[in-house]
Amino acid sequence: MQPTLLVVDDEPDMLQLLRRSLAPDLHCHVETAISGAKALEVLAATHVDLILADIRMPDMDGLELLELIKRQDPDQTVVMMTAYGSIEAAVAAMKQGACDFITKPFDHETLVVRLEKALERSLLLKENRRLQQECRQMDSFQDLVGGSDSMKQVFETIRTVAQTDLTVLITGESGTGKDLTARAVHSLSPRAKGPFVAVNCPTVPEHILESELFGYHKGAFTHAVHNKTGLFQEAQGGSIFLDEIGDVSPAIQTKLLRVLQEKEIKPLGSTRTITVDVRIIASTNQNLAEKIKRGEFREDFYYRLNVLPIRLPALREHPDDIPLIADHLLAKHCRKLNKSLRRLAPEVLAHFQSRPWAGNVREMENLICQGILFAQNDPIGLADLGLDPQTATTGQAVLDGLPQEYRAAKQQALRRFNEVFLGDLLKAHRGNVTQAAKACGLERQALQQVLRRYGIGADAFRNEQG
Amino acid sequence: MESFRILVVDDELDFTETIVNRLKKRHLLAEGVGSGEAALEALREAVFDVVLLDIKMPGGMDGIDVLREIKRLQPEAEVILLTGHASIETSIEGMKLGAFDYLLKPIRFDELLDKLSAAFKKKASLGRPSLP
Repeated sequence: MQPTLLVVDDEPDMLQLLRRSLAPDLHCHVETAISGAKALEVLAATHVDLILADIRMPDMDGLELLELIKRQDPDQTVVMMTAYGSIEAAVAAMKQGACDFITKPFDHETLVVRLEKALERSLLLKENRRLQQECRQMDSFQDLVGGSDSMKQVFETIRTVAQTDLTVLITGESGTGKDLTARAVHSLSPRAKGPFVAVNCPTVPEHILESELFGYHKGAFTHAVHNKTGLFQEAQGGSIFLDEIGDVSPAIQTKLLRVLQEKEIKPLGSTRTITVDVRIIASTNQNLAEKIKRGEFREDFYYRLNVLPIRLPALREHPDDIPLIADHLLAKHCRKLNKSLRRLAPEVLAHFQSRPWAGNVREMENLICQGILFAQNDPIGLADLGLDPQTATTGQAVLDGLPQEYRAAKQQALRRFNEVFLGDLLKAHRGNVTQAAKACGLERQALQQVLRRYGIGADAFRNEQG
Repeated sequence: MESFRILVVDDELDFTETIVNRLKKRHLLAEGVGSGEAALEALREAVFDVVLLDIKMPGGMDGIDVLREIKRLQPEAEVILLTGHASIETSIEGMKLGAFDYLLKPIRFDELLDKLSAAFKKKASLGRPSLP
């Protein structure tokens, strides 16, 4: 692909001349702008590798334009030109970050040589950024990202655990990557060629969960008009991932315990048992020991599950990985959303470092998706993430004006959070609940439940332009 | 401001002496040398925070070459270029090589102090270098 050069000058003849002469000599595509304001418009819409801007222009002069460009993208390569060259102007431009300064009238060959050099700088910077990105990706493991000691330990555990055929229990807060970890265990195990079946336990109503897991025979209950294969059978030869196992009822726990002990299932309404060759990977964000104490979780089931535990650290426990993860998510979602690769402004990264991340990596993923969708410019700023630059660093905004009483305050803060979070989410997906659910990691039904609880209608977002 | 070290490089010895004395009166640590070669020797011996470098010193090393060598020896040193009759091209070249700023001779002392304090500010924000 040819690089793009943007020439900014208030003289139309000059623009014409430079466009015609530079395009073939620099082998580049040339965009032109008749003013600083027009140049900023071009920059917002197009990726530009090099800018050649005149200093003396009415309204916004070249130095003002240079300052605005550098504020938006400190790496942008800009060459300034002027017919009224003075040492002061040249030094000022260079101090402001111009890469070169050319005085008019210039001889065409000199101009081409100096622009070639500037273009080379720009392409090198771009290549450098790409390589840095690639290096960071080397710190990832099966789509899990982290270079910190705690994450490296997790990767090591996954590798070890994957080689066995024992039951795995993954624990960690919401959004720490339990699903990715389960997939990693499966794909590194000897069962990798077999199916990986994931079941999000709390989203399936209890009376359906049993028939989903174990299947049923025709006539087992009123609507059972034909035989149905359960998910355990579908996972034959592979792994089944029981997400949020802490939420299943004691009745189902008893049946799963039987599968763990006997390696066999009995479809509803059937008298015969079926042997299954399935590895079980379970996960929970709850404290199962506490649940056992309260009598909500079977102790024997817990010990059968917790053969090989993998504990995923909360994001705040490994803040060193925040820039790495942010970069990874940015690259991943720019690709997914078909946008050119963006960067995060330094203040966004600073905010990320101090944010408590109650929702862990998933929370960051949502913020970054929002940023990619709404940011007009590169890099993505705090405002693009819907954050107020004044309060973003303290998190105070969520707490403003809350009642004194704890429960009432919490409820109100939750309501505010849900309204803002879900509002933005629906806006981003133009009211499409299925897409919104997928993006935020909830099942469609679960999201609809939350929307109902907070009285948020998806219809209102359907006609908005995302 | 007192703890920053300044090296003044100019072949006009009267000029060098005057500047060094006036800086010392302001309780600044300043030293003067009369050529590019002497400047590089001084920089091999000690760490300087700011170098005031005359870019046109006939008879010796070219000012731009001296600047290039200063940046190689002590990349953290901020260089302010001085000259009586420089071309735009030299000033651009100097800035490209990493000079911090430019002063035209005859210099105004308060202007020099402004530029020095801007250079000190930059150094302070980046942290002081230590002796090798």
